[in-house]
Amino acid sequence: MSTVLLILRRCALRHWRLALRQQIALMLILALGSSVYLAVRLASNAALSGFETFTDGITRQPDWTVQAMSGVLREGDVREMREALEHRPVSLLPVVEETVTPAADAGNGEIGSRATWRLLGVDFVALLNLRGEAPVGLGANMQAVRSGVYVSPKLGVKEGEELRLVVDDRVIALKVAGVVPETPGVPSLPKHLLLMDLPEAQSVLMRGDKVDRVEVLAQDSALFPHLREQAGELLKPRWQVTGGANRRQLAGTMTQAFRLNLTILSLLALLVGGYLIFQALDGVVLRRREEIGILKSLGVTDRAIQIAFLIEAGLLGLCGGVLGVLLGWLGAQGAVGGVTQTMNALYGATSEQQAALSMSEALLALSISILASLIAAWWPARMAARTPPAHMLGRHAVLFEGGTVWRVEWIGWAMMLVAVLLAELPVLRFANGTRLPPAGYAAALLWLVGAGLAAGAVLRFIAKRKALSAVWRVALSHLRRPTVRHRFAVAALASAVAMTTGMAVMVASFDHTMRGWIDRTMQADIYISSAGAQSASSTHFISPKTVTELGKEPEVAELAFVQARTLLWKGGEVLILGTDPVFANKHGLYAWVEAPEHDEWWKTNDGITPAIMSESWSERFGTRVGDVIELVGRKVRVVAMNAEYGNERGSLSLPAAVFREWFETDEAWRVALMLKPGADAETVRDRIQNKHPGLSVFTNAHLRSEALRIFRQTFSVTHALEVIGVIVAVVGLGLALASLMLERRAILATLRSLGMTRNEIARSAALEGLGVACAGAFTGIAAGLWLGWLLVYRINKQCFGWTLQFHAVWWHLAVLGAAVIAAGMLVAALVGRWAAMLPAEHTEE
Amino acid sequence: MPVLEVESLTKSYAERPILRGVSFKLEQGERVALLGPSGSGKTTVLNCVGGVDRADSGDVTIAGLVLGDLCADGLAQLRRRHIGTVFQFYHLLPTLSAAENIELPLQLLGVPTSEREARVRELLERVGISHRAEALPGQLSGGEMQRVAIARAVVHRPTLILADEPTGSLDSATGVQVLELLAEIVRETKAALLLVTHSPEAVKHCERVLRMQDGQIVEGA
Repeated sequence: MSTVLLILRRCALRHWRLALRQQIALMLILALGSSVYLAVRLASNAALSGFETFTDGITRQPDWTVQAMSGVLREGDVREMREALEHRPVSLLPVVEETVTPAADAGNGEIGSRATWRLLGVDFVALLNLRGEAPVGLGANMQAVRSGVYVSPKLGVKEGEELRLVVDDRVIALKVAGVVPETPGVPSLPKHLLLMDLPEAQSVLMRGDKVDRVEVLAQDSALFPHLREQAGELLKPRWQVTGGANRRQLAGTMTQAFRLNLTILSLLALLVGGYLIFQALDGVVLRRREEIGILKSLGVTDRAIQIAFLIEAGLLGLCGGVLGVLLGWLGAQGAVGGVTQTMNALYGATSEQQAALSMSEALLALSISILASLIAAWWPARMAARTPPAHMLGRHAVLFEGGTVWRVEWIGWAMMLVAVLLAELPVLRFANGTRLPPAGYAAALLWLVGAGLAAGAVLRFIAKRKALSAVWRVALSHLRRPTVRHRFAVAALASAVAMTTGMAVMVASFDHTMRGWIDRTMQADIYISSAGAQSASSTHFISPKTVTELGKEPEVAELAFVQARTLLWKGGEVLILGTDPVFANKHGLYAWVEAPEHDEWWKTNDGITPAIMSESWSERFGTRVGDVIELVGRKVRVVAMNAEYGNERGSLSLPAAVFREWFETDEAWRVALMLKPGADAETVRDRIQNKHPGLSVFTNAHLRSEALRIFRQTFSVTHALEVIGVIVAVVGLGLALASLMLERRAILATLRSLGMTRNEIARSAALEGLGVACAGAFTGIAAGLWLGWLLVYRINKQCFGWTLQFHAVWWHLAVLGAAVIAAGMLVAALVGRWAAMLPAEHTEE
Repeated sequence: MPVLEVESLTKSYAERPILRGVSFKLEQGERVALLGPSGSGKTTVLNCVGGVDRADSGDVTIAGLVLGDLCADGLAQLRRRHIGTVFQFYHLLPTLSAAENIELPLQLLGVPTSEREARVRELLERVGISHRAEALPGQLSGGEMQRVAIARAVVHRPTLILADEPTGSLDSATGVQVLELLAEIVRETKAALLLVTHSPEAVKHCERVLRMQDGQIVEGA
């Protein structure tokens, strides 16, 4: 070990001092890879944390959360729960929770652009009994609990001020009853949370005696967890009981596919960066070959050389990782808005949180950086350690040929074949309907790596072109027998381009499919929802009175509305819709994936309620057309399947009359208006908006563009990752060429002695780089098309359940290829110019 | 007119004088050996004459062109047309075959393909390695590589051939063969030859000997 430390002190760290810029460049490369991964993780976690409930902080995480089978829980149910639990020391805490938006925030016309707050109604008396004292800020013993809302000091309002809020389709005014001060050791009230006493919240939200859920907490720790189990078993027969699942965990499950997709993409960006790190570290070994040869000739063992080099790589990884943590945290602040907005739009109201860095995440990012550095350094270090000293001290020592693996292209083809086979494996299903496609992700990774390995064949094909001049001859000769550096550069480019192409194909397929679906299903002139409905998943309602008033507008020819309820079914949240099938049939609004046997699908002879399921429902729960399922204690036969891209949780459409009967409500979720010929939709829209400030009113054109904008927004973070990947790969090409030029100084001197001008040498290097860039671009686009197929027909289908039509915008791909080739050639030309200026290698006298 | 004129050449590296006013001439077809102990400046003279290094002062004139008046591209053109070099360590391009290495100077001059191919075939035959035309340098022996290097140095019919220890990496028997070949080809092409060497055998093939000591020509100028 002392030898290793000696080598590190006297050699490695001295090189760091003497070539500080180079070391910093290496650290930046490592930092980039780990920071991208960390930024995506932190942004996802921050977005997820917006789903938290404050009750966890006030009470502690509940042992059980109870909701109604039918989605409607009343105070009478709470009494029945209490009776079912008998004398057991279990506290029941009924909760009402609703998303509201400040009336003053009109947003910018985009769905999801308005701020969202959470109004939480908690039984303060039950809370007092549970804790034995009032939570800080609510007054001792709560005797002085006042009417109104309690808010966080972060909201910036004072006691006694008025808050105007949009709830469902109404604007209401609430007084600020108190500001809950921040106290050390006590969870502080989140900025977006408004706390109210339960009865008042029920009144404000017009819930009557309904509550959203009851949280069950086992009090006697001596009997815990046995008591906990008992309580759950007693409640399960009659109500939906979820164990310890707070809203954040549920949201985590719900958004798992989306977040996993982002994480996988960030890891793919790390893959491309890995090539770059390998080349850079291999170059370091090359430049130090003479030093290594001298050390070995002095008696330093192979093992010591290898360990010293690995420790140095580990230190590089550590420094790069620390930098990566900082960059990742900064990047997360930038990304969190986009990620939160996307999750908000797709999954339901979550508020933007600052991306926070925990010790575990920082350690994870550091570990990734160190691991990447060690993996990249392992092979060059091994080869350096095993090469005889005479070879290293010789004039033309070639240190690392890359080993067999990188020269055997058939391994690349084999990996691609395995990827094709893996793509046929089914998805992994979990109890609550969550699906994960590990085989699909593995297929994507194998395909990318395999395409990179096999791309050497494309290089050699390019090298067979006829040489037009000496400059071409020299350039092509290097590609005829590509070195490992050439192969790595091609592999990195091919991977990055393939990733970008695959995503482009998926986005284009999504876009194409969405437009077709929108054309079919969005035929009304005006669409109306509650202004509090900031996402496709929110269930704010419009009162029957408001619906009636809307129908009385003079320009309205027809009115239809959809009702909705969110339920827990088989452990996951689903959306149950009540629709007017006559209206939908008349206007041809269904986008059938599997059409019903007869047009009037809502009519039944056997007394079993018919329903239409979405594709996501079918994929998630494995339900087939014709199946009979049980919902809220009733039988339902699925008679058809339609395409529905509004949410990936899955929806089931019931005839409106059945919905009203089951859920005892006439409230509307969405209202659609067909106007009379000649009516101006914008004028009608403006009038309705002015009359009903609690509503969001969209014309058909505006809503179409919003729907497409939300879907494009979903991919905004991934586009950034692709750009980073391509930039890293092009930089990698430059690094590879620079290393090659340094290795070829003797050859460059020979070329100059033969009369090649500096310009010709630079052109030759540029042509060599052009060959590599072409090989990378062509391989990448070809590989990317299959990757796109995998994303569209396998991963997307398995994760979200949506059928998309494969669609590629060919000119986009052509531009991508041309841009990569141009960028590669530019970088190669710059390296060539630099190489041409290198001083001629002096021969011995 | 002499093919090569070197006038009062001086050169230093890191303030250490290497050349201290070297002067000599070469006529067309003349074969001159440059001898001297290690560190005497022989290779530096060769580099300055070949235009791959610039002297601190003095003049080098090749075929009437003063090297000091030429820019980098001008020097490259000069090397392309008028100079052929044979190195001790061959310096063949490892990714080109033997035939392609020989062909390269003609390609740089823009010679038409048919003429290039004819000349390369002729020289491969002349140096005795036509059976190894498609082999890469890594597949050739030292003697074979040096034959290729000689062919490459003369294929474009230069005015001046510079040879830096052409037999330094070869065994004595092979070295003799290579020297004989070089001498014959130089005679045939009527190029002037400046040969840096330690080898007495090499000196036998030259008409004149220049001896260098401590950066100066001490005999034969």
